[in-house]
Amino acid sequence: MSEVTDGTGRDDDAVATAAEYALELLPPREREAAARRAETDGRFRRLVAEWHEDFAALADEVEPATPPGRVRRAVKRFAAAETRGRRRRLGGRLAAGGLGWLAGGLAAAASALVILSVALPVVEPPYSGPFYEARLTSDTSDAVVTARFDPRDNVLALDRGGVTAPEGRVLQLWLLPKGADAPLSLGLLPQDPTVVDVQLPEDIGSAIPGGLLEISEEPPGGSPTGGPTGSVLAVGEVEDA
Amino acid sequence: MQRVSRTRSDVERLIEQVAGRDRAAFLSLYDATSAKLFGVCLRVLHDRAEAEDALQDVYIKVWRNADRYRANGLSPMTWLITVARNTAIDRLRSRRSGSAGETELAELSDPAPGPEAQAIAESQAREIRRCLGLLPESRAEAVRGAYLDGQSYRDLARRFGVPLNTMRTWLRRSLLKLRECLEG
Repeated sequence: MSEVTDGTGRDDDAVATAAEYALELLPPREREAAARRAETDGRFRRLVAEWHEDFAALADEVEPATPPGRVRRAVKRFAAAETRGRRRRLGGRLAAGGLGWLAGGLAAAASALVILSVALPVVEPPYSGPFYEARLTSDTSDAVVTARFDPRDNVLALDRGGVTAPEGRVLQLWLLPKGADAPLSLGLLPQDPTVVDVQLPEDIGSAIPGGLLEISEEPPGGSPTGGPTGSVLAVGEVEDA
Repeated sequence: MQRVSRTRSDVERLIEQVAGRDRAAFLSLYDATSAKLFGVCLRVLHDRAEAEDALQDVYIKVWRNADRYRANGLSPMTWLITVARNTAIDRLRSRRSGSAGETELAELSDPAPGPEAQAIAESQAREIRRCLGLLPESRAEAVRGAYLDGQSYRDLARRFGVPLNTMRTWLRRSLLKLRECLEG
């Protein structure tokens, strides 16, 4: 849709399109074009921002309504899960009440938790893409686990060092993708060797950045339920490079 | 629960602390703004359960994007309201595309301005109301319907009983008049 510029130097078409974009009124193709334009055309971006400011003032016609407490609790749990890895790296002590992220699906394992702290500094990549390395230490022992993820071939290289499964149990590796409710199994870790390359399917590899990695101990053959059932021995957040 | 009576700089400071992964600040931001944003979600969705889910998504987005808040050039309440509105509209439209017919939207509620929107500059709110007041009533209602109720051109065309293209031409002209007035 086009309109003739009115001769005052103002681009009426851009002004109206910016408003339609801010209001989410544009048909899909025009919407995409406007989104691209907002990224590349600073003037258009400012027009959109101006409309957002003006329209947002209309929101004081909206009656506030107090949301139920469960929304606040869910939001609080979410933030707790998101900050776990970071707080651990800063050396903060893990409070028992800070395990809220485990509540969904992992509650059974919570009583037997041994959490290892995790650091995942981003390694300078030898190529243009991202790269990750993890160092896991335990609150209760000197055990150190290192993990390294290479998104070029979706291989997670894991060195579990001295961390071993209890007698008659096996170690299982899990990924909780960002925003997901339940962890995915990445497979069982062999008792020997202690250094393994875990080849991940591409769709799982792409969920590693921003996710949480954890290791639990499980009955032989792995968890019978599809989620961790034994003690979780390691958990940590993976960050984007 | 605390209402939105914080100043712009309070909310802005909280957003910055959230960008620094400060959970206490995140909950303070929630307490200060959730009633307003829940109102925005309810207004669009007309369904409490859906509005609750939308509100949760809103704060997840706020947590994840707080570090990019500065770059968008919006004032803090505008940013929060925009996130809430867009999240609710996404939900509204995916709900509709999943059903055979379009959900009939409830009529506009009476636009009685509440005292809780101090975080948006009062003068700005007065200004857009004044300028909408200069438009023919149906045009002003169309702008409100699009913004506050997330109505699409199709919804608006049906509501005002005009063809879709006519509706679009109407609204674009009204928006230009509105901009002229706001800048005047």
